Formats: sequence, C-alpha cells, structure tokens
Amino acid sequence: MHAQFKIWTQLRLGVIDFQRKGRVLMTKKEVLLEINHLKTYFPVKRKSMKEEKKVVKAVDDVSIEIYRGETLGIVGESGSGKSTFGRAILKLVEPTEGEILYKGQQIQHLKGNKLQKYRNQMQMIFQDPFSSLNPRMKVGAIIEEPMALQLTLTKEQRKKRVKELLQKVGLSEDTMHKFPHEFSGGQRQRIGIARALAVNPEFIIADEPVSALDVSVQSQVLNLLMDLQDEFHLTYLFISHDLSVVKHISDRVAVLYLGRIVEIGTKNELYANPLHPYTKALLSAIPIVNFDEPKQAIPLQGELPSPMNPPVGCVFHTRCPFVMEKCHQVRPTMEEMNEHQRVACFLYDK
Amino acid sequence: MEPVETKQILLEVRNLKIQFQLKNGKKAKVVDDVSFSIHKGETVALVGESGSGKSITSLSIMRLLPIPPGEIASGTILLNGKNLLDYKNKEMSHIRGNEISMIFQEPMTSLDPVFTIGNQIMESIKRHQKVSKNEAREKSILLLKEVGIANAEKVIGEYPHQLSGGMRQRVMIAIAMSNNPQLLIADEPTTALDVTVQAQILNLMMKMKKDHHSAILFITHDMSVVAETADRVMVMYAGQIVEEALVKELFLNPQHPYTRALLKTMPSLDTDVERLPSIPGIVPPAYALPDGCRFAPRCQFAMDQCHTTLPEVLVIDEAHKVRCHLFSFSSKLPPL
Repeated sequence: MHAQFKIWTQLRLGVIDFQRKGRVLMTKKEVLLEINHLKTYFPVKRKSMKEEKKVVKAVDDVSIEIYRGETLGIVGESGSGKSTFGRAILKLVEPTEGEILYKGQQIQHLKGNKLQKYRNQMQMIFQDPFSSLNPRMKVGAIIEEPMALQLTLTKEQRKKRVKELLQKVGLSEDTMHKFPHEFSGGQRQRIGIARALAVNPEFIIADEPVSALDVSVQSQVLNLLMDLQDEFHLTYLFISHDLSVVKHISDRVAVLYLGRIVEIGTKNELYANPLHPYTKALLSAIPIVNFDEPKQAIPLQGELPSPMNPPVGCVFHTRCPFVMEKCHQVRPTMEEMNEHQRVACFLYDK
Repeated sequence: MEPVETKQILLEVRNLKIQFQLKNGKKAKVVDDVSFSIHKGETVALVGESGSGKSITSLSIMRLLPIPPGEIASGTILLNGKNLLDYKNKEMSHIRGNEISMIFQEPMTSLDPVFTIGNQIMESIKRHQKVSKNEAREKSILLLKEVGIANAEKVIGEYPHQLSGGMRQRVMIAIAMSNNPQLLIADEPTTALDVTVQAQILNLMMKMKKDHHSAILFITHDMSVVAETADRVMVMYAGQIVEEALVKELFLNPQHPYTRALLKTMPSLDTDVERLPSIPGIVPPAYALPDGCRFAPRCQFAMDQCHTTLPEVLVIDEAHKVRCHLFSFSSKLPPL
C-alpha cells in the first residue's frame, strides 16, 4: 500500500520522468510550472509619512502554465515586467500574491533547504555576459561552483563534468584555466550557459540571453540553446524584447504589457494572426526587409505609462487605436479565442 | 530617387587609416583604407558588428577621435571639398554642431544631467547663430514641437532624468537639428529603445532629414533598420568596407560572402527555419588581423589566395563595390 502510494505521488509530482526514458507521448502535455494570479509589487519610497503609500506593479495578476519540454517566449517593452516575472518564479524577488506550482507543488512559501532543492531544478541565463561572470574566478571554478553547492559530487567528478559541459557548449577544455575577460561576448554567454547546465536543471529562465551579442554570434548561441534543449529535455522561459528572436526559438509566446499578459498563443498563430491591438502594433513596428510593398504600420502614439500609476480599466487603452468606452472602466480578462490563442481585449467580446 | 547627375558630393572620405597605439607597443589598425562618399540629402548606412570600426570612422569625421592613443595615419575627409583634418580645433568647433552634428546611442549619457533641456538646446543655437536669449528660447520650443514633444513649454524647464528614453532621444535630435546641419551622423540612435519607440524615432529622423535637407550617415548593426531607412549601404568588417551598394541591390543581390552570411543569420519574421545559419568564429581583434582578407578565416568560399593577399575594392557596377577575391576571377572588371 505504502509503496503504491509512493509511486503514485512520484508520478503526480513528475519525479518519475517519462521523457528521459524516451516514452513520452508528445500529444499529452505535462504542466511543469503553473502560475496563478502572480503579483509582484515593489514599494516606492515616500518623501514624507503623510504621503500615500505607493507601489510599482511590476507583475500584476499573471496566470500562465508552462509545459514540460516547451519554450515559452515572453515579449514586452522595457518596463513591462518581463524580467521581474522571471525572477519571481525563481523566488529571487518575493511574489506579493499568487501561487507558483512546480510539478503540482506550491513553492511560494518554501524556505531554506526546500527552496534550495527547488532552485536546483531551475537555472537562469542572464543578459549581460560581462557582468554575470565573476572576473576574479577562473572559468572552471565558475562552472564548478553551483555543483559544489548543490550536488554531491567529489572533486574529481566535478572537474570531469566541467570538461564535459565546456565541450557541450562548444568551448575547448583549456578554457577552464582562463579568466572571463579573455573571452568574447558570445564565448562568455556560452560559459554562462555551461554554468546554468551544471546542476542538471529541468527548467531554464533565459533573460535576454542574446540581446547583448552581435547578429552573427547571436545565431550561434540560439542554435546552441536549441541543441541543448533537445539533448537535455530542457524547458525554457525565454524572455526577450526582440520579437524575431522569440519567434525563432519559442513554441508559445506571451505578450506582456505593464505587468499583464495581453495575449498568449502558439507561435504560428500569434505571429500570423495577432489579435490584441498591442500585439498587432508591436509586430508592425519591427522593421522588415521588403521592398515590394510598403509596410502597413500601425503607429503607436506615446510611450509605456508609468507602472506606478497604471491606467484604470484596460492597461493599453491610453495608446490603443481601437479604444472603446468600456476600456476606460473595466479590465478585460483573458478569454480563449481558439485552441491556440487567448487574449485580454473587449474587441473580441462575444 | 533623383537622377545621378544632380547629386552633389557632400562628404568624401578617402583612404582613411586610423590606428590605436596599444600599451604593449603593438598597433591596432581599427580603420584601414576606408573610402566612401555621401551625397547631399542622402541617407547612407554604415553597418557592421561591434569592433568593426564603424563608430571610430564616424568620430573621426567629427574630429572627436581621442588622439593619442588614436592616430589618423593617412587619408582625407573632405566636407564640401575642404579637408576637415587640416582644420584647427577652433575652426572645427564652427563645423561641429553646425554643419555636421551627431546623435548617440545612449540619450541618457549624452545629455548633461545638471542642465535643463532648454539650456542644452539654447546652448547649441547660441553657439552658432546670432540670436538673443529670448529668440533662442522661442526657437528651442519650436524645435521641441517639431520633434513631437507636445508640452514643449514645460519640457524646456525639465532635466534629462525626468524624461523617458524616447523623449530624450527626441531632445537629442532637436539639438542636433538646431542649426540645420548638412550632415547628421546617427550612431546607433535606436539601439537602446523599444521597438515601438524605435519606429517613432526612425520616422521622426526621416521627417527631419526631409524638412532640413540634411544627409544622414546612419551607423547601426541592425540590417532591418537599414532596409527601412537607407538609400545606400556600406558593410564594414574588421576595419574595412567590404561591400557598398544601393539598399535594394544589397539586400536582393548581396555579393560579399560576409554580407550574404549576415543577411542569412538574421532571424526573420516571415521565414521559418529550423536552424539559423551562423557564421563560425568571431570578428578578429584589430591588433591581430589575419594576413590577406580579413574575413578569410570565417569565409566558406575562402581560397588559398584569400589567406595571403588582401583583396582590392572591385567595382561591379556604378553603385556596387565589393572587396573580395571571388569577383576578380569571375568578372573581368578593373580594380578601382
């Protein structure tokens, strides 16, 4: 009885991993991470006690599920809360409200050892490969450090694994005896990726991993990320402001505006048939190479409103070309439009 | 487009060579034998990866290159036929901000945080025009309105930190345009901005260029921005211009292997590929350039000759030039 229960629990929690044994059915999607009504507010410093308490609503009521093995792209302009969202999942910033379920287990209240165990399964790749590597540590030590903290490997095993990892990310073995400053941006990003892989994570949050790189190097790193995903069955949360990069790497894409998801859909559907006016404007703002037909641009007026004082009703109504009376008062909720797309907009009210 | 005959050359750079003295005694050839020209009212894009020497080229036109460690080894920079490199510093300051002006990538660091917006626009107007303080103020307000800042009277008294990135870049454009420059150098003006704001700023730059009859030297690494704005494109790699063509020609009929690879590696919205083609290796540092063609170590078409001799610039047709050995065989065009 007890043994059965144990297996059942492990199954439910996804501890027994079918995918690694190559038995996974692609049609059946397993939810790896479920986020419900996540809110992350930051308090704003007041000038005096008399002033009203203010908060910046960086992430405001985001609900989303991430399936095992997929790449979920998060796009949005700066200030839309996409980085905070990624950090809140890792509990690098404390969520104000809402729940995060990892394999069905609530994690927002985890502390100490349990939090460490949870974090062992998730890693992060950062935007700036210059500031995210310690300039005083050798590359080998940088990659070894998370293993020493999180895994029970001997020193020899760790060294061996560092070599393996370096090879996996396309760097030579003698790299481990050098310092980060000896490498170019693309190579450093590879080191960052090797460090993220060191503890065998299942889930990787990549926060603008290629935006600091040149185009010719950018494609190398994108290809590497996709190869590693296939090899280690990784799940990615890919945060970027670059819609063409996100399109290339993602399976599904969520569009964030002022801390809220305005639209989410499968890559093909979202790019071919954007529903939300913001998604449409965002896509039409990208410069394209097309000399035959002039672009049908939907110009967006103004800029992102302050997240300290977001508009009442629909967050986008101040810049929306299709704004209606209702948008000023009521906040639209996410509605399922079709099998592949959900959108928060009154234009599609039935 | 205007017929070729009426085009007047505004800026001509000939055989420009810029070196940097390194601490270990070596010399870095940052810009090596660069020649190009810009016609009046034209938008020319200079594209390249970081370290290709594009910013150094633009700084040398403004005479803002730090000397030493920088050194202009040879070459001329002619503005309306006069060599800017012969000018004394004082003479140059009449040209800077007046005939040539510049906008930079990061609008926060290029505006002075301790002066108001109005102060900074008026400074540039008063420096080059004989106007009273009140007139300068009036002009500043007009300029701010022209660049799409609605509440110009209020903004003129504000400090840079009170404005958003897009607004700051608008202010930078207002300052750059305040004296109707003949040439505007824009060094990655939209790289730090979001796509929707980038689209606004690009539109604004094109409008200002038209209204003020200026030419633009547009420095960027983003090929798709180039396609939307430029008339002509120059592709720079490791200190040299490897290909130069009209914008449509360059995108539809690229010749140099580097240009082709660069266009292919761009992730695009309208094509779907499993894997992005990528260029192996990295841009060689300016102190350790390969013998022969700079791109040879990364080039899929590299021949023996490419590793030993530097190719000359070949003229494919009137507006299309390329620096590659492949074309010295296939076409019998004379070298420039």
